[in-house]
Amino acid sequence: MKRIIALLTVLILAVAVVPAPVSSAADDATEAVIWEDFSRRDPGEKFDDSEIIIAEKEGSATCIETLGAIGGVNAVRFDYTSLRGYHNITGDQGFKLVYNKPRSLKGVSHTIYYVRMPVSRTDDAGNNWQKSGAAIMLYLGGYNWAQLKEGTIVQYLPKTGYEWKDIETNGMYLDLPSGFEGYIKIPVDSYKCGNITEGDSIHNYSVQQTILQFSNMGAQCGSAYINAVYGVAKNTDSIMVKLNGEKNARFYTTGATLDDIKSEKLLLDSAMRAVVLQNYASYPAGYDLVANGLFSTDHKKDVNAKLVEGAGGILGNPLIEISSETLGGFHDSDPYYNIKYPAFTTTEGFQAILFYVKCAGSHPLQPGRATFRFNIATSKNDEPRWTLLGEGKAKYLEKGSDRWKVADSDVQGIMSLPDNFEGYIMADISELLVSPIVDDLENRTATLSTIQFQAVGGDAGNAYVGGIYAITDKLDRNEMLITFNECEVYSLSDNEYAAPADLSAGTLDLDIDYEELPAATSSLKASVSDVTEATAKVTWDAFKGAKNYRVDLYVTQGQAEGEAVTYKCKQSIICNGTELTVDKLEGSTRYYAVVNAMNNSGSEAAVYLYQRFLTLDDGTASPPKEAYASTNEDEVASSGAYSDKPASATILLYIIISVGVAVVIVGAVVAIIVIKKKKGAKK
Amino acid sequence: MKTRIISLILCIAVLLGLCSCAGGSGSGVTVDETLEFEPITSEGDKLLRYNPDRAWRLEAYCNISNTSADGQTVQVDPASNVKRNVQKYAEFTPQLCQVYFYLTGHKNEPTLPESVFERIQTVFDAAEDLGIKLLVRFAYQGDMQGTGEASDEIMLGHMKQLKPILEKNVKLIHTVEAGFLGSWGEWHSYNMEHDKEALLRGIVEMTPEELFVQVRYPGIKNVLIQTDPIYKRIGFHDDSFFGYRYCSSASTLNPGESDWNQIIREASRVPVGGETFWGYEHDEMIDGYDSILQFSAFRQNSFSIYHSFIEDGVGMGYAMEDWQKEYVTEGWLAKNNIIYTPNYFLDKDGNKVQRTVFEFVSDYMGYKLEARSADIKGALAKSGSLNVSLDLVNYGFSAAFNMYSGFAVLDENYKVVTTVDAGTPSAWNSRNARDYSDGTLLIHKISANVELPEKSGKYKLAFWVKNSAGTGARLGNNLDYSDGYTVLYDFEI
Repeated sequence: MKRIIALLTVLILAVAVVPAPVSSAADDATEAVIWEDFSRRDPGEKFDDSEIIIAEKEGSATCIETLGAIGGVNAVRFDYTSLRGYHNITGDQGFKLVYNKPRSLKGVSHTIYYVRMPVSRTDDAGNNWQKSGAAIMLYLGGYNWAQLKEGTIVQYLPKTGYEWKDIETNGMYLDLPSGFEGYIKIPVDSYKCGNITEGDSIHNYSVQQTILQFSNMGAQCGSAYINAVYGVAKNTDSIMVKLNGEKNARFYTTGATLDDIKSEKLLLDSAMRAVVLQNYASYPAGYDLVANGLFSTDHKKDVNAKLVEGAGGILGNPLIEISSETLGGFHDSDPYYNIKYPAFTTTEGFQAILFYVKCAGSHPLQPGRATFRFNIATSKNDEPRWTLLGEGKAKYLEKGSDRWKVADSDVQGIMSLPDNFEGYIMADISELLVSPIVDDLENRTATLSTIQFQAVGGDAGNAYVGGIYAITDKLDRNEMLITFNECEVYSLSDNEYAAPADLSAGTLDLDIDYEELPAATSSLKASVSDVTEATAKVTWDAFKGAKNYRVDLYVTQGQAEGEAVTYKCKQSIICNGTELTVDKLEGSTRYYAVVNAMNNSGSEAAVYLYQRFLTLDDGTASPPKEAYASTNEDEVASSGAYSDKPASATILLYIIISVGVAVVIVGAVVAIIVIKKKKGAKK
Repeated sequence: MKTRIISLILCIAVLLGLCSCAGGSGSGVTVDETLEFEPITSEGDKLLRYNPDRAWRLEAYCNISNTSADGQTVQVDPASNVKRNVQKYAEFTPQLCQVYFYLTGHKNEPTLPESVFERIQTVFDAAEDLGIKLLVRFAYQGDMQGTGEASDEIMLGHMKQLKPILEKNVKLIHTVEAGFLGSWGEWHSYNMEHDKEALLRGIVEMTPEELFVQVRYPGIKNVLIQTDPIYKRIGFHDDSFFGYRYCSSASTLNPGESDWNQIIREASRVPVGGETFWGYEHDEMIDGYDSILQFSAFRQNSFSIYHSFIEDGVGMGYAMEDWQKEYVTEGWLAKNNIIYTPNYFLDKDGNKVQRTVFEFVSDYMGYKLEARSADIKGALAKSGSLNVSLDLVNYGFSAAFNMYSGFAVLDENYKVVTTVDAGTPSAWNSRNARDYSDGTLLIHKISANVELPEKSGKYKLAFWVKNSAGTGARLGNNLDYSDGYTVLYDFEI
């Protein structure tokens, strides 16, 4: 239902990290045209030699759905069955991508490729090159092959990245991070071609093919992918690009324009923050965890643990398939399965543990139910601690459901789950009551988790465990969305990347002015408490049958003289439960919180009476300005007319002026008399 | 030589004359002082709520005809409602009561019997005893079906007959509401043909000249052209009050619409009152914050405490009970261009205090005066005079209608020795009278020459604010106060 969307908060990070502001990033966007989008084939089809030339017969090039590169209609997966690559096998195991028409380099400063590299893993000789290497060459027709000069600075942008990173070529090769996915930007002028003589320029040629070779691929290293190729007409360091003369720049990483930011940001704001403890994302199917020391078992010998693909969990990352010939579980051998974390992760900030499991069938002694137990093993000052749920509460989310439910747990921390349960389990750290660590998370590291099932093996079949995650910011507002890198958001209910539609399904448009607040259709109560200058807690009665709830926060618009009043929805939040702490509120502002109980179809089953509240002052208030009233202000008479009677101050002024005038007149009269008398005396 | 002597004499005479003008007669201590006055803090507001001709008003039914016909209720004592309601709401210190004088029983009688005037007088007498003023409304219809309706001829005739009793009790009347016509005198829901202009003119003619008439909505007033001399005597009572918000039930009185804007334009010159709905009707719609916005924009002078509050008992959760639990903040007031005094949110020790919406409305509706400073100049001599200039601010929503002011000299027992009128309280708007959006607080300068007593002794220079009944108003200052007189300065001659 959704296409892959990586989150636009890249923007936020970019603003924080990259000096250029967003608008500037948009203004300074790179300008490029798409050279190849693989639209000539449909997903599942093989490319033939006129499209992609494969060096060896064992190789294949298959069209697959886009990986998410902007402008990439489809992608190509390059496969080898056996381990290949220039680090492993001498010779040319590459692929030649034949453009449907020569791509002129005139006016082209760079070429950009969206790739997903194979993973660098230990080869048969015990070597692990750590990096995913690639050679990217250009065939310019005739005998003209261009390869990168040594020491060339090439840039790459990870698919979740927010800035271009530099990498220096090693000979003609690029050594990228193992399993790298994202964009590679190569300056055209850094190519050398022996047949291009001095005075000539590579820009006088056209690219007919791009030749791609990889350091490791096939077998345990997996496939290589390419999603799109671009020719750059104007290069900048921006992470935004205008494709094919588009007016609006788009983010490389998401394809979103600045106009999309609102919903993308809302999506990110609504997601739980988490870190990956173990998710096997870069491991191939069939990987033997037992053999590689990542999985161990106690109390049972015949247990196998291998990775399998596509059984569920976030993005369908591989699951551990736990199998055994004989049945084992709580009722007999009580085996433990220890899953190691690949890196010691500090537990500071941990709020909850989240993982994906698929239970085997029920135990013959207790049919029709599934039970499960887990712990988190941590270490502090070299002292290990195994922390269990005990009688704490944990939630579970069945596959296909979008509603968390609470699981009962006994004193030993054994949870009761629906029969054949598959889905997520989440437990707050504060609910892990046996050997708790909730108040002692600092300087502690998480090392592994031990899990137990009611039954695994034999007739019960296999059990599966997916990724294990620690949630560091639970938010309580939307326990369906999760992000691991403040960038991409995943939907737990869909096991896919989340799209704004996940959040906005049923949420209000934030850009509409409403003439009135929605009328209540329910007498159920809602209330607002714990109001600060930026937060408030909204609580409400549960509505029977509600799938979830939507809380809308309105503010009024207008309210100046002569202006009509409207309401604008500032936040619209989907959540579970019957309370929500809303944040990012503006101080000294009147809000109206409207709770809506939502039904399965995403429409309002009930609208609660709005609750109004005023956020506290943010300390910026200043009393009104002051000025002396003008004479006219004071002359507005009690009857509504302007008074004929001057104010007292004016009367005093009149007296002074009158006296002055009188003095002048008297003086003048005296002067006239004196002058006349003088004249009379002269006569 | 003779000329020089004459000139010298004239100059001396002029100088003497000037000295006489400036300093009064006799000799004495010259005073030239500027006094700064301390404003009250939150503790002082309760006393200001007793100030007259402002803020909360009650409502009372008075069956003047004492008939049970046409849906009326027999009422032995026509003032019983007034008395009971004043008692019920005493803790909220309302100084006003709207009275519906129902003339229903005389809807067909051209001449009102003497009993009508006796019963009306009973109500005025009760008001005087209770120390309140009345908002007077006459009506015939008690429902929306036209029951009890009277013809224009009858109503106009009754108006002429009622004029004297209103004149007689003018000091007990706050405003006269343009009732008579329609349901509850609200000028709607009647059946007969009526000449509205004639009725309005008749009501204004009936009303003592110093009083305002209030109409239900601007359209009633707009039967007159603005240059009509009686136009400026007509204020408003918005009896469909919803606060500053759109409401489809509010007829045309919605923000941004013509009636709304007309009230905003004219409210600086005429008093605005009103009421909201009964609590059981539209309680949820009367938001206190929206109400403050409307009160401020309409420069509200009075408002009913008898609706959507405790009319059906305490704890019903009606709107204005909610106002008692919701807090107003400086930030919100400032953000919304509402004038307030920062001291309102402080106690006497300078600590921040919370104030509720209800308190704010109680304290800022009508006028809320505060003396800032005074300049006093002159010679403190027997039969002399002092030139006094007072800086006064009004934080209230409205100007001080029906109020009078001046300066006085009091003796040691607060008896008035001399007095002089000064200031126009009805012009003391808190903000620009012509542009509500200008939120600058206005400082009003009130000046006068105050005559000093003929006898030597200790005296007090006071500023007084009183209504027509002689009820005084306190200023928001920590100053000596007695019966309308706020002492600014003690002196001796």
